[in-house]
Amino acid sequence: MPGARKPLLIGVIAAVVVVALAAAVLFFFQQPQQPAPIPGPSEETAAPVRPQEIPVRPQEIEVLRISQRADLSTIDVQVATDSPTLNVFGHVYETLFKLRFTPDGTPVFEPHLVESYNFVNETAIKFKLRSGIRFHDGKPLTAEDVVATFRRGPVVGSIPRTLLGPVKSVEAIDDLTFVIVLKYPFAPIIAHLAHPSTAIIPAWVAELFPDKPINSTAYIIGTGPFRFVEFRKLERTVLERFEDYWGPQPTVKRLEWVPVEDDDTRAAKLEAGDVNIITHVPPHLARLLRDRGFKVVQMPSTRIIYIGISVDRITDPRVRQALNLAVDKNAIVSRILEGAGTVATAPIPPAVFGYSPQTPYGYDPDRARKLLEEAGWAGRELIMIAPSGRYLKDREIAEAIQMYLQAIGLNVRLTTMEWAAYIAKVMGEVRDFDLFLLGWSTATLDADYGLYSLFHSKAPFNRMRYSNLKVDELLEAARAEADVEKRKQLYRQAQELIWQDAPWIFLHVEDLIVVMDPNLENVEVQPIERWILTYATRR
Amino acid sequence: MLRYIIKRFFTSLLTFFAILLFTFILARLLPGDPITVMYGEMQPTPEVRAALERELGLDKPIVVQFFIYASRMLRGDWGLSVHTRVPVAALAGDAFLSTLVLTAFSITLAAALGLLLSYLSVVRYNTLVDKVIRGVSVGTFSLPVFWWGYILILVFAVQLRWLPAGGKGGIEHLILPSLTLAMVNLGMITRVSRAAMIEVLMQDHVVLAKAKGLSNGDVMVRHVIRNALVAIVTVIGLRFGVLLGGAVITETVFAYPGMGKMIVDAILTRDYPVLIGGMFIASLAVMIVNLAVDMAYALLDPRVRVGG
Repeated sequence: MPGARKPLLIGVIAAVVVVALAAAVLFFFQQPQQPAPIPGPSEETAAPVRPQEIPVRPQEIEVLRISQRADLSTIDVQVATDSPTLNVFGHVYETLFKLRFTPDGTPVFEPHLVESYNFVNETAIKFKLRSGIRFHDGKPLTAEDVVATFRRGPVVGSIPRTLLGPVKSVEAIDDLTFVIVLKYPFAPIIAHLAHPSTAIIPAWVAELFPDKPINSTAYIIGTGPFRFVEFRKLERTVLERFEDYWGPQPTVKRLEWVPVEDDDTRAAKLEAGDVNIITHVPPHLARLLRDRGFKVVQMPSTRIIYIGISVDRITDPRVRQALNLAVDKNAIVSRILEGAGTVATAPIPPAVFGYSPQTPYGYDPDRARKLLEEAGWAGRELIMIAPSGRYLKDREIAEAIQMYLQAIGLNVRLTTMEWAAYIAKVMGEVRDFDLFLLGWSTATLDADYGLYSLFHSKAPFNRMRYSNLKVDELLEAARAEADVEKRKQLYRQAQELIWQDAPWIFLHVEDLIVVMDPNLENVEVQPIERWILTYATRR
Repeated sequence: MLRYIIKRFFTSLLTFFAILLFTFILARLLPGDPITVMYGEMQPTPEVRAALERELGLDKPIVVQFFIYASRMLRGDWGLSVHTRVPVAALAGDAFLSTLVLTAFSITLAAALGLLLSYLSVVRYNTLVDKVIRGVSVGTFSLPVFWWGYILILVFAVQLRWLPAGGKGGIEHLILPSLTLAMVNLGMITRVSRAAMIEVLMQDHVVLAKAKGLSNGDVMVRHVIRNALVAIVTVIGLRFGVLLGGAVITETVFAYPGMGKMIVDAILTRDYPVLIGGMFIASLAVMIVNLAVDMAYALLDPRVRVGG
């Protein structure tokens, strides 16, 4: 249609302007109706938030909806390796011990399903279960269930395998008594028995699936405060209060876990009142939501992010130290993570038992260059791989590190991949890379899990192929040492050596950010990436 | 007519098998296997890996895997999701139904509005109404799907609180996502059907019909709109495959558990049974829709039959 162009253009511009104006007007017009900002709770929640002593009758919650980024990855608690899944199961299943935080943030492991325990000798512990605990199918909890759980766990799941690795045998003495015999004296055993991956499942379920993941939600049966009701993939997982629960009755009647992958949508759902709590909130959204009056809980997690260095390819420690000196970790935390992290000061985070702060490498590109020259590495090419979308700003961090390393004269070829391809490459036998980005969460809050699993030369997760016999010796001695002070000493020495050997570029500890309705109380957020909603109340 | 349908049916069947084979090969070519992904930083013992590989049939040669899989598919045994152990048939069925409802809703909305707007545009040819409608229709499909999604969420869920920001539930959960999807198609449908109507209006038989004394309304309904319908059906047909793809973004933004989202997730987690089951249903659907569109053509426009 000749001559139609001009009016058409005007029409387009008019339409866009009208729509944009309408959106802007609605947006700004509504601003004053937002709840008044409350003081930023990040300061007041420096220590983990935990339920206060609840007054006589708390205000119950009919339905509490929480939105995590990811859906259940598996329906088998012993197979699960990710925190979104373990968080759901943490409400269905229970462990022998329970992790609690004192008001000053110190972790304490309290007997939970067990009533009492005592060391028969250095390697044998006798436990007595509480009586009167029932599974959701009505059957009582017995020592046989513990035996069957601990027998199956290491076969099907890698976390139970790690946690229960030092266990030689578990034997039931009577209905409520059992003995765990260790392969060697192993101090962190109690911490391991508080990890959600060692939760107790019914013996009959364990025996039905001895060597493969369970295949139906009908077998999701625990002793926890909530029983499993429904799992609809990508839609929701529903839990309901278990009326026969042995402990204090939960204050929440129904829990709905809603997976929402998109960060903005998760925030919008909270704002729209569709959900009450959202997790894995990126820092810029947390700031926005705080300004709008929502309660923000931000704290350092136990997840450390590092660049693993293939020690078999970069054998000279001076080069590895140079890599550490070349990277400005403070800049990464403050600019890329927008402050949602803390620069690593040891191979394990400060919240973990045995943590010993090391002298920071600092940002010193000149010294890094010098070290490289001494080692004859100047101008070399390095191959670096990183995941995209697995950890907070992982791709951006990898790109920044590439730039830092290029600034000291190395030639870094970076490839970022989606998680599935990436993890296959990192775990694979062909290792044609020098640097890789990964994270590790020391969920037991004990140095053994964070150091032994990653730095012992025979450890399965030592992807750096790092080997220092002295470190091996120290880590072995520490796990067997019963004296708390002596253990700390051993871990201090091990960390010093690891820090000097630098099999990692030590980066940062990620922050956890959870945002919720301002009138929600008693939602317990733990640094091990756990949110416990059992006793949440409304103000 | 029957010959045409049979011919179309067999070409569709061929396409379908090609898609099936292609998806299967593509899934296996991607780096990363489901077991590695499932266990992440903590890899399973060699025994567990072997047991899982046996169970999933990953230990067999790839050709054997394909035949086992194809025969299972045809028998209706679609297996379990590698990760969640939920039956794939149920999962894919649910997701497909969700997406179908969503797309049907949005297509109906877009077609109805599009037809109305194009009609208005034609009867008010070259007036302000026409110009505004043209402008809006270009605007709607020029802006990306996610932009519409976020704007609609911001306005109707966050600010006005009239509708939920996402998820699945009653009809209220459908309005925003289907409106989002409709936006992109609305502009397209309006433009295409407007052009079709104008073209028909200029044709001899319409001039003749008018000369024979048919009223304007009769001309519009009998000749013009009927032709516009062909155009709309074409657009819907063409857009359906695109809709499934576009639905991925809409489903992600609205956390809507549909087909597009399920397939993308299955790719990312290398959940082969879910991926293949999803593709199976999706390609079947696109095929059936294309077939239906072609039939609709044949009914609406006899020339198609002659040519086909």
